[in-house]
Amino acid sequence: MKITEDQVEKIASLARLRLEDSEVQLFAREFGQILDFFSLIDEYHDQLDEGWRADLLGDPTPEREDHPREGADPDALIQQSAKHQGRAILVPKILE
Amino acid sequence: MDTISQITQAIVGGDKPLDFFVNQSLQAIAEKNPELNCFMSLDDKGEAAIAAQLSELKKKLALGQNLPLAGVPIGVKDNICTRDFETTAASKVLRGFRPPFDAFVVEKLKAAGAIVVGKLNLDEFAMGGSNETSAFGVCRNPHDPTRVPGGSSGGAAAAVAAGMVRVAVGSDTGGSVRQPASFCGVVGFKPTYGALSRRGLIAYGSSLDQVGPMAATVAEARQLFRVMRAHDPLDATSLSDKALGDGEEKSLARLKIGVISEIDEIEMEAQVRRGFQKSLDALSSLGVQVGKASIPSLRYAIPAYYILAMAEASANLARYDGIGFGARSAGGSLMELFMNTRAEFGFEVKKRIMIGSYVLSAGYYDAYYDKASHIRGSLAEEFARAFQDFDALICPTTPNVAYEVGSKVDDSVSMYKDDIFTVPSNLCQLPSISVPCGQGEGLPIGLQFMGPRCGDYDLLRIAGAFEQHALS
Repeated sequence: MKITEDQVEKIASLARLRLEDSEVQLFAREFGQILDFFSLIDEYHDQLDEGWRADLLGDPTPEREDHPREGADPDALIQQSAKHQGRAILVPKILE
Repeated sequence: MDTISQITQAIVGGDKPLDFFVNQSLQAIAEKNPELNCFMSLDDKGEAAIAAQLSELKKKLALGQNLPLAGVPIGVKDNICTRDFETTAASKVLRGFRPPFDAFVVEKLKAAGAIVVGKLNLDEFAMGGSNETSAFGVCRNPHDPTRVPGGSSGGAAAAVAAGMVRVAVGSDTGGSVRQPASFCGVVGFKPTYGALSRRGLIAYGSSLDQVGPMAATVAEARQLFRVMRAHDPLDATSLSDKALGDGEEKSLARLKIGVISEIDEIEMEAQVRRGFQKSLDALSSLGVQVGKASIPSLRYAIPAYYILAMAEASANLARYDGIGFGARSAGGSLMELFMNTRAEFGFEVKKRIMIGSYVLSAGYYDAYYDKASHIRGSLAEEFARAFQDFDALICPTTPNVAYEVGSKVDDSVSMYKDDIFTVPSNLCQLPSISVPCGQGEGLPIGLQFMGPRCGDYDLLRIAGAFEQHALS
């Protein structure tokens, strides 16, 4: 499967990744190889009936009651941010 | 090095000072780590953390608490959160990250008297099978330092094999405990999905990730597992306390073990095939009934696994934006800040995030993710059917022995294909264990036993019997 450098750049931007030019070329080549390999799954699906459903197999997503409880110490969590002031995390201007 | 039972006995009985085995371990690390690069955090803060844990141990012993791992030095893979040590997942994106809490399994180990002596090298965010994607240098195989230790828990396997620690904790998303255990000649156990809490394990593929013990022997892997095993209400997929049961004692002659027949079609090194055949002969000579089991969808397991794992990775790694925690790169706007921070991910991680985003995007979800999910369901049914006839299934852990550092870095698909024997257990939530079963040209070969879901203790018993009788 041919993946173009433009497609790689588009996916990278959706995934919020900045790539070097040299990386774009390499990724284009590797993506093609990996997606070709993934196409093996089509062989399996060709044997299935039209109406196959993946979502009926496997366990449902576990859920739990939504009860308030004590969580982690907010001050300790704020300390984890690379830039913070008091109880606030500092970020660049959001609204231009 | 003493077994963990001997260590605990010597500490609780007062035959050795509390720090005796920890110091022994630190000395081995100081001697061997410069060459092997298994341990990552060995700074002054680490020394203080060890001293604090020893002081805590002293208090608990004075109170007469039951401490099944008293004074046992232990290494923890660096994608498992530790309050006392930096936790980087071998990524520049988490450089300097010191979690405000211990992972559930680390809490359990410390409560049992174990002393965490340091954090172990891995492939960045556990994505890789050779430890070569670590941002902090490759770890090397103690059997031949020109070769990889496997991955992603390469540091953990190599540290146990080199005698730096007797036991370590790794994580396994597609074979990351079992494959390096096989490459380094140690035991690696991936429990049933949900048997060990994932709280504090840095997420890669959440429906596949599982913490696993690595040890010199099956008995020690079991001891570690018992200590870490408990229901965790803060992990929605954690199994209840009674889910596993104790299994049943069965003589070897009553055991039925199935060889997956589809492995005949899989390319593997001659020495691995020979080692596997020898193991089968040994089991048969012990009176074990060995038969053929069929998993027809096995050949689709690898593409299905990588589609699902990469899709989950793309979602899980979206959290590394430089805002709340971890490293932050400069940026004039919020978008620039995100992009510059995430530019620090290594090549393999970027690749998996992007392919994951691709297979989840509109138009491709049905073509990839949905189909892979269906294969996952079929595989689980095929394994469940096989376990109606067999107590365990076996195959080699890997199709090859440890290879030269750098020899596969340019061939992702070939590296992914090497995971053929290990990924089915993650896709199907099954317990699996790799046990050393000999050597080929001086390099270890691993034998993998797979058990039915929640049959962890039976599986450990079978693997332990193989280790004790077949190898002696």
